[in-house]
Amino acid sequence: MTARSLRLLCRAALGLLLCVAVAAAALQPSGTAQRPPEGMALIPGGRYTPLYSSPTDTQAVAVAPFYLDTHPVTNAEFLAFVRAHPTWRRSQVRRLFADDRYLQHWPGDLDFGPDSLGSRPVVNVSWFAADAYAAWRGKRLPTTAEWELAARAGRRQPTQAEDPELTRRILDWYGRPMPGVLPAVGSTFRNYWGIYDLHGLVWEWVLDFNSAVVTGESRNNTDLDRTLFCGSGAVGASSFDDYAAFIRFAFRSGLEADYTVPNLGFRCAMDAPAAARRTSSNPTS
Amino acid sequence: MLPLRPALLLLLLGLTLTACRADVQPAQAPAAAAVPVRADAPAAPDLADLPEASLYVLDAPWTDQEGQTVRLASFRGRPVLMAMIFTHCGFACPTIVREMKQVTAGLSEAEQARVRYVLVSMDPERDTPEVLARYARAHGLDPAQWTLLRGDAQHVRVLANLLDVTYRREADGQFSHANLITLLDAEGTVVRRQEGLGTAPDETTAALRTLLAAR
Repeated sequence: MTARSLRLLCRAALGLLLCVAVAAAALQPSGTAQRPPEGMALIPGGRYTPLYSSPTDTQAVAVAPFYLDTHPVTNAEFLAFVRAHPTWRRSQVRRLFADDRYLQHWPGDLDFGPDSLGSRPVVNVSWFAADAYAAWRGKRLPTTAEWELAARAGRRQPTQAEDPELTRRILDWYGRPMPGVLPAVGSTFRNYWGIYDLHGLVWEWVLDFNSAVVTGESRNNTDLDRTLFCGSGAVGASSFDDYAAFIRFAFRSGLEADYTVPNLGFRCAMDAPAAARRTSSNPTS
Repeated sequence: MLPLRPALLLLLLGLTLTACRADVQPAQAPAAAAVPVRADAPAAPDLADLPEASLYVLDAPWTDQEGQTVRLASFRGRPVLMAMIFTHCGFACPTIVREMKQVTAGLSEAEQARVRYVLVSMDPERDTPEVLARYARAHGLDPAQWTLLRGDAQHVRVLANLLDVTYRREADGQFSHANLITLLDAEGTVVRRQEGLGTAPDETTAALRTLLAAR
């Protein structure tokens, strides 16, 4: 082999190596290359055991990866929405879609008060209003399973099992009276997935809140008013261990879609592409 | 002797592969809210004058048991008995249907002819128009008066929230749901909710009679 042909062979080999490297990088799915939309974080898929499920259905529900807003929707953000859509302003909204306390904390249709209130979570909004806002943003409300999956995370771990102090603080919050003025979003803890304020700020609407079918006061299923509900005669609570989740479940069960509540807000979610699924360990129940 | 060109071609190939990797879209197109977000756009002419509390402001397209597209506003002009069901429901939903018939059983023929019955499926996956048509035949539901509707999951959710019907799909495909018959007036406003099975229909019948007498 001549020196020249050897040089060319080396050059070709290097070129080939370069191509292979480039191709490999190009074709390999990379979690960091697909960034979540601004203001959202990726929650990897997982399994969630609904609080109430029928005895024939004791398996956890699979939840696909999804994006979740890192903060609840604020007064300022909601103002932008009602500016763009006058039918959702307080003076114009149909009573069908929001009760008469809709945005009652705002001085006016297009005024949430002093600038400092812009970063507080918007409250006194109905499910219909939250749903409409989410659609306006090209998003949707999270499902109960998605919300609860995200909320399971601790501060430094995917679950709160290693953080009993956090669990206590969450329960404390449920026992405390509501503050006169809600703190700004982002003022409570940031969880493992980068999501703020799932605990300790406001209750939050979910897409399927009306599936939280409460089966009656008694734990004994035979006491159920079977005529009011079909199918629920067979459901029972899977576990009362997560008392905070039970409180949230009970709260959602009492809601109707047109209700507005002074400490009930929301945040948005979005489907995430399958390629964004992380291969690292997902939280399991 | 090896020419340089193959190496360059291989390099180009690698670069082409890079370009061919599809850019990942951050999200699928989300389901649009069925509640009118862009409702300040000119409303459909037949919705602009709906009363404040009318459910027919929900301008979503449904498909009936004959495969026709139906909007709720098309029921304007007559009182409506409405319920949410699913065809695979073994006991409660057939009972709901029977009780809807009981509401009008005591009315005169002329009165009966003016009532419309609407059944909305909470199971759009399985309750296709063909399935709905079969169900209607099995239960003797005359298409002249009975409309069975199928819509997309979000529209079903919104309507359920307007009617205040709770429901949940279980893993086995069955639904746990509230049993409710709603009486709407000719403008789609809720007049009366008859909750539960085995509830005496008398008050609903009386309310319906009042609606019919008013026209």
